[in-house]
Amino acid sequence: MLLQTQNLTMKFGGIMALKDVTLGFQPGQISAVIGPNGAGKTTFFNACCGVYAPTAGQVIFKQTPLNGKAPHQIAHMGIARTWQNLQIFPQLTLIENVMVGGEMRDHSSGFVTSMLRLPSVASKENVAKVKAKHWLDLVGLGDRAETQAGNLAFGQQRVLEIARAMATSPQLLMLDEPAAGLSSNERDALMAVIRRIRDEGITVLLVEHDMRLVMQLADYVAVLNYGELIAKGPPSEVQSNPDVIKAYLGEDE
Amino acid sequence: MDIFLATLPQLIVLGISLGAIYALIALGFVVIYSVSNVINLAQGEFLMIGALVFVAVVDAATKTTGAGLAVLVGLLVAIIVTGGVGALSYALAFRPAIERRASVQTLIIISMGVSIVLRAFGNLVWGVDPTSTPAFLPGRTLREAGMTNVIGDSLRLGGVALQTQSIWIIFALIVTVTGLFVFFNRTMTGRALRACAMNPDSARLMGVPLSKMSLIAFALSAAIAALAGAIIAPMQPVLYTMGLGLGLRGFVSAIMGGIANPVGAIWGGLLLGIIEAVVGGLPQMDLPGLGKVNPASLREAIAFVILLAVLIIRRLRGANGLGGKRFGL
Amino acid sequence: MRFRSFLPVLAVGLILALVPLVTTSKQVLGTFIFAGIYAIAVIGLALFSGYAGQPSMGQAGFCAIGAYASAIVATKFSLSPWLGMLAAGATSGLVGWLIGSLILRLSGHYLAIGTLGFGIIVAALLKQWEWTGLSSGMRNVPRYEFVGDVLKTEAGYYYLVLVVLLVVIVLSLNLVRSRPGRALRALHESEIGAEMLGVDTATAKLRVFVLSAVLGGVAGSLYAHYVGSITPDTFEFTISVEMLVMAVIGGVSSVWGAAFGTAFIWGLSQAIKALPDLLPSAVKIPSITQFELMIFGAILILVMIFMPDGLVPTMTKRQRR
Repeated sequence: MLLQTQNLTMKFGGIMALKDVTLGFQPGQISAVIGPNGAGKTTFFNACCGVYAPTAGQVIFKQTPLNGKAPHQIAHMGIARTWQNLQIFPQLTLIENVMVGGEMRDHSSGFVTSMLRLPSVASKENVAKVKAKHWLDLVGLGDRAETQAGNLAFGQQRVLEIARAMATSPQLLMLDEPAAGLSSNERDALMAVIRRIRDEGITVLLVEHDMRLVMQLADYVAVLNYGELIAKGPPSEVQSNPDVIKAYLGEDE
Repeated sequence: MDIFLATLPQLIVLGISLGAIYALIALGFVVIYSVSNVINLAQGEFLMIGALVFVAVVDAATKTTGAGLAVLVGLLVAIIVTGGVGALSYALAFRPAIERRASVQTLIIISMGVSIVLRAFGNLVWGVDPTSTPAFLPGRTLREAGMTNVIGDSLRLGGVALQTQSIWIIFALIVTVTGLFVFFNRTMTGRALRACAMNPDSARLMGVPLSKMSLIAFALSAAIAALAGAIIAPMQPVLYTMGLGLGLRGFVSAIMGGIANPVGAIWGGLLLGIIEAVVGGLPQMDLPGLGKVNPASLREAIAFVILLAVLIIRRLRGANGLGGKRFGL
Repeated sequence: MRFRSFLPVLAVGLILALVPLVTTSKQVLGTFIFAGIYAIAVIGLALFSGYAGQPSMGQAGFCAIGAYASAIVATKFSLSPWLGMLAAGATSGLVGWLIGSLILRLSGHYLAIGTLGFGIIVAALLKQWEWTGLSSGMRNVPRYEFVGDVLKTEAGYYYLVLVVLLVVIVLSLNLVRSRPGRALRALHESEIGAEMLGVDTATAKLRVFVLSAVLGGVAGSLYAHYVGSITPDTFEFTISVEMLVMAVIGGVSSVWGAAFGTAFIWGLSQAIKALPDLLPSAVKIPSITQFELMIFGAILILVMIFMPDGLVPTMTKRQRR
């Protein structure tokens, strides 16, 4: 297992957002966490990557518990993610957005060396730029590298987040509702990108509303309802699970 | 040290009357912050304007109406004028910014701008010489009424001297708190203000005009500050610079009490007043490496040392608490 | 390769270098010297406030620490004032690191208030400390030495401040345009977004806070050795506010904005001071400083309402469109 959660529990005030969720995700696969609105999917993501400190239970990545680790430490361990509500840097250009991710493992360009702009800084920067351009090209935004990210359309901002996350060279890519608000063309392009990422050997975990997309993409599906895990397994199996059908039919979605 | 212990009760009494003033200013912060989410650093300047107007009116009225009535007229005029200044500040400086969706930081800077303008205004109109008014209840009047334990403007009770003005301060705090309680619980406007404070979005949906409520909150806070200013006018020099220090202390009190919590603000104010008075009464100390330090004049810094401590402790508790959000999303 | 981006610095430097050739007036040069010293501190402030996105209201506190450290080294220890400048940067930086470790945990308006508290505490402590001369401060702070008495002339000091200012601008621009600068700009826009891309936002904020403290300290040193005497009131709370106004008016997340904002405010205050001579003698302004402050306040409010990003970013944005 690449990522595991054991009895992961998350309480906000009196509200139980996640209850005893125990899950594991295999390396090299595309896995999905699904569920009706308010099922705790995004909370699950946030607890996995250090945005929230779990109330109880733990998250284990590559056999190492993540408890007490800050998001940037978790990022360094090899987890990257995107955000349902988008956390792009609107005033930075596309290439700068991606470079921030790409420069994660560059420890030599510190404050002082950068202020003096030593030759090493300039050459590192060029490398980072080339890499960033590569990821922008891959998601089809290469020709807009110098645009401010805030000027992009919504769907393009989502894709930019993926490029940015990939630039950190992760082992696990977590996508929070990547297809939300996309046109059907954009959606198909997105699926191609995700498959391509999987083919490069990167594990993908996504939270998604769009059942069609999940069923077409995912190798493994876990279903949450009111913070509890109600089913897990291959998509075909989960699809016919009576609990899952009930959870989805109980709500007009 | 013995002398210090002997004066401790006196210091605490002094601290409470000082603290009651801070509490009044802090209440103003809380009202504005709760309703409009603005941290109004000009609160002290409202107090200054109130005090200066009060002194001017009392000076002018004493000759024609006699001292007692002059104080009443002065209070009334100061409260109305300053309330107007508060409403005007909101309408001219804050509302246009809020309508343009200004950030919290932008609004703080605007409030600094307002306080710069008001301070300069105070100086231009009233000059640089400090003024003052006689105590509301001069010791002479009490002595003439046959009270024997009055020295200067202070009552002697046990070993403790209590300025007559301090009694007015406490009285003003009690009246204000009662008045606010009735206003917020028993009147339509007050309830609407509370609704805005609790949930601005649903208040707006229910047809409460947020902008008008903020205007009222500013006027109300300025009026409370004016009351505080008028009531300390006999106790300290009244001039255009007086607002800065008092305003900041009121602000510290509000933070100590939890910025949106009126009861907390009152306790915060009283506590800060007592701490300041007690520290101010500590004997001179010889600190190794630092030389002689006179705690009396460290008073200025005390409030902010407390402020930093409170902020950091609260933040640490929040950050380390189990299951809390680490980042505001 | 990056030469082109430093052309503006070169151009501004060359134009400013001409000033002492045009005038030798002590008053005019002095005005420029003060503006330059302010600009150094304000650029430091803008690096922090612009990037961490918080108004710091305690920059004058760091200027005070720098000025006093420098003055102590030069007078009490009778060492070279240049060592004083070094001590100024180091002490301010160290204090910045200590204070920053504590208060940078705060966010939003609490951080603004925390920094404000810091500035006030510094001024209050300086008034209390016998070693720093209590309220009357320190006197007879000597000028820096360089090729004899060159820096004791106004023109000489002018060039010193100009060189330091240009160096600060170049270093700051380098920083902003490289990896740590990108990380800072990123965390300003989305702290959690930057965290998840591996940016240690807490450390990054602390570092830039220390940097802004160091620049404040250097500005303080330049001030102390120029004027020759300092008091705690020189660095009171209102100076911090004035610096924030300069940074904000120019555009808080822009190095040029900070420099421009300083020049703008400085020019404005000179213009207001000259106002009584222009007005007909019948119109009397009772207190020119207060009148100046009043106009300051009004301009600050107007800028914040209509261009909350500051003058420079607002103008460049308009240009782009």
